[in-house]
Amino acid sequence: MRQVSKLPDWEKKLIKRCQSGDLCAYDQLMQRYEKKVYALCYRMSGSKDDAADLAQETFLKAFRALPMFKGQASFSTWLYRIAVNTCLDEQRKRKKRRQLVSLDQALKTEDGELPRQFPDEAPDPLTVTVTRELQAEIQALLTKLPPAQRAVVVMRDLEGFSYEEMAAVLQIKMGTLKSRLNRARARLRELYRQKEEQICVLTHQKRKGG
Amino acid sequence: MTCEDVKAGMAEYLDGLLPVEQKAAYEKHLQSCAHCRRLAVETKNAVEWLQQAEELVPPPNLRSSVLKTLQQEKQRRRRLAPGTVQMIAAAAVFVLLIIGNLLPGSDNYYIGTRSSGSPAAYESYGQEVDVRAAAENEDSLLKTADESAQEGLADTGRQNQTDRLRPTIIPLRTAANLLLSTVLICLLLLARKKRRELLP
Ligand SMILES: [Zn+2]
Repeated sequence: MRQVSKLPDWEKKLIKRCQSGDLCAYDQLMQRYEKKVYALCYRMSGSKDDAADLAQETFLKAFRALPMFKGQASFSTWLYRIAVNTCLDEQRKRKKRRQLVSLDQALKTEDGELPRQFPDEAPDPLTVTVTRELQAEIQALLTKLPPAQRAVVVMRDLEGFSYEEMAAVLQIKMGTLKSRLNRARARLRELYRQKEEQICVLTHQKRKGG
Repeated sequence: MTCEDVKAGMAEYLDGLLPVEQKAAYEKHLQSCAHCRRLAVETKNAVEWLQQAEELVPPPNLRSSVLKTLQQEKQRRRRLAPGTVQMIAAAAVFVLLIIGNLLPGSDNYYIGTRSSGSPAAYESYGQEVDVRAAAENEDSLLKTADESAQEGLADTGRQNQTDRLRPTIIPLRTAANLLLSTVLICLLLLARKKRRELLP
């Protein structure tokens, strides 16, 4: 009940119009949130095409579910929850597919040719130069985090969500959120250190070789 | 404060969310513990490195493609699915069929002529009642009903030829069943056809 007041008047009106099927109102609402929704989807999926699909799916789901939205949470929280859940569901599906594919690939390895099914797989460190591929590196590192941990790191460190907002989006307790964020950042720290060490080894080898 | 406490409070410490007195205890531990200090610095570095991630711009057609899909859904809902009208009509006919067969006493109405004076007329009346009863024993078989009706009509022809007036009795119920069943089947076929047309 406390959170109903969180909804500003203009948004309340806009949502009411959307609930009665007004698509112009929904366009306005989307305009306000598309950037963040898209960013969440991109960081979770690691590819532009997937992000566009996921963001679109999020907005479609949200519109269809809007009649059920009673203002228990703020609209943004509700929308981001749909976005994060859509992304996590996709990750789950993908993991299943990947398990099937890896079985498939085990048979193909004899040919020495592995089809690259997943472009969001970590790029080959040999081909990555620090400056040119920084963005790709960042996304590659994020993609190595387990999806649930990736979600909190993306929300907090890239999108600047508050702890309260994240707990509300994920519908978890504050204590659970804090420990998840800590675990996520610890994992991130380890991945970052591994990456740095690899770069050191590579430059060292290069210097030796050259 | 133990090293475990420091690990558990790391996120809040780095985000500047620890209350003043806890922050002081935290920093005191960091000063005395090299291990935790290293973890804090490395975590901070990793997060700051990550934060170099570029700002993302959603594709320009994101909203329009969502709206297009929603518009299509709206129109689909507004239009009745093809074949619905035929299905409703078929349902109505079916209900009529049921009601017609549940109504008591409608067997007593007959179509036809009956010469009241002729005793032969009464003889043949008895015959035709038998035919009708036979037909009704297999009331699900429309063919039988059909035959009985035709027989009645054929009889009329013969009667006209011989110029003898005999009662022609077609049970109204059978006739109605025949007609309504035909209409029902036609409507169902039409509904199916309309629905098939929708499929790509
Ligand atoms: Zn320590």
